[in-house]
Amino acid sequence: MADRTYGVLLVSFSKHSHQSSFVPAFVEHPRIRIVGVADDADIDPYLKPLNRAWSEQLGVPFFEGIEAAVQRDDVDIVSIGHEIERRADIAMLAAGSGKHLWIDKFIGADMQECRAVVDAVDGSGVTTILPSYIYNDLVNQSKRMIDSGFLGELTAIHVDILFGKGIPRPISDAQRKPGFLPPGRWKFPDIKREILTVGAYAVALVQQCFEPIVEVYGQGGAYFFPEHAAHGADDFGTLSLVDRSGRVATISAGRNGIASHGAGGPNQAFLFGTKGTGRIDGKRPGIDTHLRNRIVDGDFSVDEDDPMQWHSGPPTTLTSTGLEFTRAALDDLVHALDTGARTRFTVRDALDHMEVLLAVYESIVQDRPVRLPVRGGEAA
Amino acid sequence: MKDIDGLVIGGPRDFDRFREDLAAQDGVAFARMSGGASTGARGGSASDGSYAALETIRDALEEYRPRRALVLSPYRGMSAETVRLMESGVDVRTAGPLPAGSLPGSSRDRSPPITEMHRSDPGFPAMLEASRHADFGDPVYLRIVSSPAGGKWQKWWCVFQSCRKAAALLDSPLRRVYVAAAGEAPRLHVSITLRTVRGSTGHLLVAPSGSSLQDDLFFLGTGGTLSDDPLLNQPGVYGQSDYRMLSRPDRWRLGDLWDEDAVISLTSGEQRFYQDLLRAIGDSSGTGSGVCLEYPAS
Repeated sequence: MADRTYGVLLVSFSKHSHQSSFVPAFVEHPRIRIVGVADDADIDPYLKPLNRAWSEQLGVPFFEGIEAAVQRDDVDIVSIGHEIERRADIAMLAAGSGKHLWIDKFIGADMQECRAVVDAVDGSGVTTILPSYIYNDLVNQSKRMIDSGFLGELTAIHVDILFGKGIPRPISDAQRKPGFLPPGRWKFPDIKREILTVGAYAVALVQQCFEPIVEVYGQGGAYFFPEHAAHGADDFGTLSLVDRSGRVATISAGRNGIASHGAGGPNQAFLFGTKGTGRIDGKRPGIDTHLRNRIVDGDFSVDEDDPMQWHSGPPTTLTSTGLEFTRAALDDLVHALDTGARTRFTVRDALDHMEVLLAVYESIVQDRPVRLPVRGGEAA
Repeated sequence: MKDIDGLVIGGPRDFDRFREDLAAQDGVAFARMSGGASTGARGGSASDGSYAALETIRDALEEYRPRRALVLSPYRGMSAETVRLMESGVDVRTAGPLPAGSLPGSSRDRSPPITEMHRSDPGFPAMLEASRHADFGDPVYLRIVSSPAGGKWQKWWCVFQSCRKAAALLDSPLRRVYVAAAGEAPRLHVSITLRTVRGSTGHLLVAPSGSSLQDDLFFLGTGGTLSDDPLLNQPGVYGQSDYRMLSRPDRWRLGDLWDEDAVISLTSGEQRFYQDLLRAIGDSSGTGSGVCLEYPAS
């Protein structure tokens, strides 16, 4: 019998999500078929035409109303690219309908929502995956290095991940909202919380290499963008994490503006072991590309419809030739569906991941280290 | 007897750093620390035997009777030796503070002057100049990874030197550090998460191993990034089955460490801070929990 094909329903193309970047992998995968686009009736005005444009481009129907669409017989997998505040409800709805879950980055906006998703998935028999974190070269190379034994016993990790996007401008005192915005409000029309957005990748790498995190110390604020300063929100942060066995991870992460790095921002890790120190550039292997016309005529202007470059990037001088992570994640999901195996990053991993990130924010608000586990959405 | 005016005391890494400078200087000798010869950069003095062939401190002191001495790395017995030298009229400088309580009772108030190591690094002025250029903007974040050979004292001095360098590059005194350490000496990892008075931040990381990794530095400003990458800045050799980094042909300058401009004076609050930092390294590695320390206001 030929391998069966799995139908994917794309739920929302929110500008805060990566749904559009998942599409090529869905289209190209021989075992996946996109069967429709769906969204709520009551959504941001910009999103309606965007969802419809994607359904037309993909040649699939658009369904207004997620609940009915999810229950269609031709839907096996629901790809959730809605706002973070809607993801938990949609995930629980889909899991309750026996549909497998492909979720962009976060399963909920707080610990309560995240736990509710895990509870809904437990016992439902559905397979879940968050594709964005651990199928990339930084994680793959790090794990390979650790497994090789060259490092001896892993003692510590340091990760630098910066997105060289957007155009920073000086921030005046008048533009700066006093204090630091507590965790919980993630959605803004003009910014993302960058410790959550960018730091999440580094935290996931640490999770893959360490035991559970028990202590967190965070520092963060607005250094580059007046938009972040006006909300009292973070465009950059530093994180320190200690795991159950005392190992230490340090992270720098954020959005720091275009043309600040040849590869569009560092994406690197140091792995400190008892026998050696490993250093991995997640954007390599790659080809250094110094082409005169591209550099001299390089267009560093930023689209006014995408000022923080959530869906675009600046010219770079490094062409990465590494793995395309979405395809690897999709292969993992299809394998799990075929065999009943667990994917490499499930909603349970996402729960632990969110707990660490929320603790980082609590640490910044409280201006002190905080201990995990997080209880009731607040770090102990 | 050779006419030696200055004696430099340090480990294999120190010897590698100043090797070329030493070769060009008359009147300066390098003495090895006891028990410190086994760890050094691959392809450097440890592997070619030149460090092990150096005189011991005791032999060098007996032979040369120097007028001045410079201690680049801490070693067992350092404090007592320092006192003896100072009492015999030798002008002693150290590249870090002496551990509290290590000086004999009558000498507690007589710590030798401290000299800032980064003053002798020819790359430092270039990094400082680039970071002070208007195009760099305001300093936001500094990350330095170092890997000194040796135990807790060596890691501590490395942290001290990194703190001094960070304050200079970030152009602001430190305000607070969070100290987290893992493992046991000599395989001890120390991470310092810092915030300065001006609100910039940093990570100063001391690796448990990897002696070729010398001050990998990443510096983020509002206008862009600066980095000093040892992998790119050190020559290497593709061997039969691996790649060997050779010692960087550094031209660190000993003369700058004797210079009065390099001498710093720590306030009593700063002295306490660095002693607390040493204690925090031990406490953190023992408990698996980080320690916050406030840097004294100037």
